[in-house]
Amino acid sequence: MEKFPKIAQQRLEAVAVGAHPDPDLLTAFAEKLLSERERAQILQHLGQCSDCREVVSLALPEIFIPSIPPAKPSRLSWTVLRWGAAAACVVVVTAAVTLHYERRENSEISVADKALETQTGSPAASTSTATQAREEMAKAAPRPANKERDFNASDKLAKQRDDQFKSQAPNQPAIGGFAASRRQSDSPSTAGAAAGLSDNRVAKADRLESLDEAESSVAAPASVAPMAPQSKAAGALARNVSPNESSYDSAKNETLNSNARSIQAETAQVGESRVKDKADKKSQKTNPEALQQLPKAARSVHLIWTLSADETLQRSFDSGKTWQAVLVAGGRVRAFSANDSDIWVGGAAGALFHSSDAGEHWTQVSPTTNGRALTADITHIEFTDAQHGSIITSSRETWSTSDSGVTWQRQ
Amino acid sequence: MTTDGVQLDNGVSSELESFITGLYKKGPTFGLTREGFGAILTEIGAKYLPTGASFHDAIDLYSSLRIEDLALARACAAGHEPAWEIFMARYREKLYDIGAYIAKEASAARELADSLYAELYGTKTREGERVSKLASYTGRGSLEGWLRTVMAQEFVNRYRRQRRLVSLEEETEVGKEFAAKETEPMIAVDARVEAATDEILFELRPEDRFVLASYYLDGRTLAEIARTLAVHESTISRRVDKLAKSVRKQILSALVRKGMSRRQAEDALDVDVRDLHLNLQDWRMQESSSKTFHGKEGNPASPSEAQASGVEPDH
Repeated sequence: MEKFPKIAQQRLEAVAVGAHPDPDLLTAFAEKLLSERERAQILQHLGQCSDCREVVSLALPEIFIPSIPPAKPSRLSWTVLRWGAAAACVVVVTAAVTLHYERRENSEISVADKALETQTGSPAASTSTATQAREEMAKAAPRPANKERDFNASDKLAKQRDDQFKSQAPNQPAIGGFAASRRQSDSPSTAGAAAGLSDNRVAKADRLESLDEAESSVAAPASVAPMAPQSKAAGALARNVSPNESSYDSAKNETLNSNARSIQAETAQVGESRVKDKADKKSQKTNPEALQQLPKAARSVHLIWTLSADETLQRSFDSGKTWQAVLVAGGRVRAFSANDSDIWVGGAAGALFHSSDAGEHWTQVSPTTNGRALTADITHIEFTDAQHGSIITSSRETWSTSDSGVTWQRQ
Repeated sequence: MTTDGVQLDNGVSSELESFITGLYKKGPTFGLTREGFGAILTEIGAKYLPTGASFHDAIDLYSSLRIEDLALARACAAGHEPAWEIFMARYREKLYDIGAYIAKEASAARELADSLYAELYGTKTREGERVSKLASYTGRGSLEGWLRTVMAQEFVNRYRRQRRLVSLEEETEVGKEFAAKETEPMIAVDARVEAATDEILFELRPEDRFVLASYYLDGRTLAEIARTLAVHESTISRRVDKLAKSVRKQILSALVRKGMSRRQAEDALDVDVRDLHLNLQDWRMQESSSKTFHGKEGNPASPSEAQASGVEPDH
């Protein structure tokens, strides 16, 4: 800050002060209600009188309520952008992993197709079948309700797959027997080459099918379901394919690798759902319509009500940082009572309104008792909870209700 | 018909009367009669309208008033019990909240609020009639804002009174050393500097002077000043910086016009008058051979020093 000459500071202070303005003018100055001429006169005095400057400073309201309602907070605030960017990164990573996994699957299938064409001369079953089945399963699969259960289910599945793999290894000879019977019907040249593949492919198909059953019994989340149609399609292909693989270890490695890929995909999807849930919760905090879905403790953290100097109702969802004017049938509000998002407001001539959604929608209430309606000005409202409340009017009447305003008693 | 300060012809005055009647019917009047209401507005017009104000000036003034708050306050001042009950319901707790905000301390806040409440109710009487402070409320601002201002004024007055009382107590306490009152510097700064500075400060706009006084004299923050003027803090920051530069530049130009060289003018501006005063005292003390000479920390001077100054050393 530029240095202000000390002599200027001294001379600024040494000025004779005229008559002090009355409290009405100082109040009107603080509330920006003076004409330009009067405002200049007050400022002239305030520039010379430290006591009046002190008074004006103390007389400003504790919470500054502007005369013009503030603009709604921008949706593109830094916090929203930051979380949005994080969510976008997760989505991109998940998509990349999923695509990579699908391409690899497709490349394996296409390799198998080529090998099949080479061996049998007929086109292999297309991958569109697997894709369609996957889509159908994805549509039918429910969204996971519990994120933690996702992880536990994934771990369980991985273990089950290993166990199934180990338990079914001794069964190979039986499966191989089936292949052996096929060998008998095929030509010797192709049958021999097909034997090893069919052994392992059929074994893999059967193992995968039994794992599918295990998946459904564990109530696996939807992110795991897409494995099922692929495995079934893979199983269908396996019966027709005769690759050159014949070792138990390579089949096991392949299964383990596919398990790892599936777990990775599940993890990415669960992470994405976690970020999305966080973003949803954040939007719920500022969205009054969603307030009703939040528990009372969460709703009460941010919502504050107040009356401005010109009797306009105002609300804040962020502990008073920003305010929004709430128009209640275009009238002036003289009294209100709020319990979080449940609010009653009263005005002149018995005007009484109630909102249970933080002022988004209002219902006019006309208290009557013994055929007589409330017509006096409402000066005070107090509701201890949603059901019990009382109203005091300018004619010294007290109206009370214990059923959220359905019936009233007058005292 | 005429009101003090406002000369109106009969045609216009009837229009004004019907306007006042419209205001009267618009909101609650808390027991005030139409005539009483009209008299209140006439009194307010006489207070705030300049001589020769037009009909439209009067309409603008009356339209800007907080009619309901005005009616409530004047009805309370007139002793209408129903109006008092409404006032109590609306403002009793707020008085304590305002007191807490101003005084920052619970007992002082309560005392302030209770004292103001008593004045509002009218514990004092004049010619047998209760005098309520609410009778002075004119509706130019909100009633709540007016209560804040009145309480702030009372707080500032009390604090001033308390400072004077503390000073008196300190002065009468036996044996206690107290600081002498600050006096104006014995030697004046170059008169041309004072004159040039006064000229420039006189030409400042009222709002600019207010900003400079609030920032440099009161030590208020930019945020507090911005809040008072209802502008952004950055606006005040830029304005203070700009004003400081501008004032300095203009004073330098004025000093050069008065015959100083640029260097002299800059030196003159950078000198603190308080430093000049202290330097003068030191100079006077060094020159003096008075009997009031003392060594350090009140101890008698050393014999050689005392002999040199002509003072008998204490043993």
